[in-house]
Amino acid sequence: MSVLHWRDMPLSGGSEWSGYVASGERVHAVAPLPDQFDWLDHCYRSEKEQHVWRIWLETGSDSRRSGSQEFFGNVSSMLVGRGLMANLSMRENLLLPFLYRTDGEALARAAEAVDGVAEYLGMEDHLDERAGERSTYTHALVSLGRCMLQRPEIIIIQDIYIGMMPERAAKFRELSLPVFDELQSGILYFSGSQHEGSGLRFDRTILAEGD
Amino acid sequence: MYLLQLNVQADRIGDATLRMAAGVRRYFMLLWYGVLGVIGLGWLRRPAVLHVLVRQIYFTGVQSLVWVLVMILFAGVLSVFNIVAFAKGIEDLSKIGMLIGTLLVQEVAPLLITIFLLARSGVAVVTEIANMHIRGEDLLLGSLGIDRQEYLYLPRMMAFALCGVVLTFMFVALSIWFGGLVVAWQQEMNLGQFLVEVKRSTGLSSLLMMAGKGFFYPLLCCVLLIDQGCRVGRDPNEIPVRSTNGVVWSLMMIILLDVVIGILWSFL
Repeated sequence: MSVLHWRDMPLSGGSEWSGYVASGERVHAVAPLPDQFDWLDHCYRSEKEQHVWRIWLETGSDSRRSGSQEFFGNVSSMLVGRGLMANLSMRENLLLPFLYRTDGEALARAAEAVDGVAEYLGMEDHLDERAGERSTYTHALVSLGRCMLQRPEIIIIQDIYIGMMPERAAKFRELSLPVFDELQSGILYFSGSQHEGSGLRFDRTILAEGD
Repeated sequence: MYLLQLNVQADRIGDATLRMAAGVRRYFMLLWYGVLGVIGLGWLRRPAVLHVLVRQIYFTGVQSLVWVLVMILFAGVLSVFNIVAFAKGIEDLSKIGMLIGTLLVQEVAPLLITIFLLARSGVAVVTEIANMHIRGEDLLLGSLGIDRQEYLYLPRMMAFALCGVVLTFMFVALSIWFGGLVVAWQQEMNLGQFLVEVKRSTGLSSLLMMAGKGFFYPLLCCVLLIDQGCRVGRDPNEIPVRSTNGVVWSLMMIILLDVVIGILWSFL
């Protein structure tokens, strides 16, 4: 069981917020967009760029600071319109975290599983195409595919449905909800409003509002 | 009134100085991270970084080969031919080696190759990095735990430096060889005699200087180009401005550096 904690994260109004999300739990964080980006930016800073740790993952007695490779081995993200590197193929995009890490076994396992994942997502015919410019829906699909390959303890989602056409959003809900149920990961869902349209049933909602 | 104008002027100068100092600091930090990254050798164990490195070497070096060959045939061979004609004109063939060593090997080759790399790949580096920022790909890399400096910047720096030194060496070797053939064909001088003259005066120090300039000039330019790419932020209108700045400032930096090295070299 892992728990993602954050403490004293600054809000645009000058106040701060803290919280946590545990594996299997679904938490909805409603925050203004700049505060969402501040949170994400802090979370994704590499270890050498961080001076104060405000986000960490606790697994048993282990504590993994945000920015460390161990942290990213257990935490995946799905960010709106930010699922693809344009100059890589779709397959490389799905395997990118594994290609960067130095774990050869995990890479071999992911490379073996990638065709099955692509088939589930309906993108098996486009795997070796260059990503280039794609729709929000494809960005979301690739992010979901990476979560399926990585099987993380915690998934951070940022308003993934924004900009998606209604029929695509329905299709994505159909694909993603069974995956989230199967993975049993903790979900931290960031959005700007309480009506986010993800179809997820949240255990808790945090309103992160400045003064 | 006069005092107010003076204050405004002083503010402007102060702001400009602070901006320049911040720019210089950012530049050296990037260079420092690059050097640390190369020495750390972590990139060797990461297929994703190696993949970017190979692609950059292919784009910067391999695809440039045809153009470098064209430059060799025109600029390189012409330089050698003119040097020989000049040496014959002053009736001192022993100057051939010295002139080739000083002009072609130490000066023309590294400068020409750096300018060529700037013209061919400089704009590409700035626009690629800038577009990645604008598309939010830097945030994506962060979300995957990928070090942006290691994945985006390091392969580009290494590709520029490696391709720079290899292309410079190639330019020198083939220019001397083809130049010697043209000189022999024009019956200006025997090929063997020409090569002996070149070998006699082109010492290890000339070759080291060529290798150093061929390696560091493109590397220093690449760091400046990356810095300009990073400074675009989220505004696409900045891309052409930063691309132009990157190429022109790199060119000026290299020319100035070459002058400084030339002056220091003359004292040694």
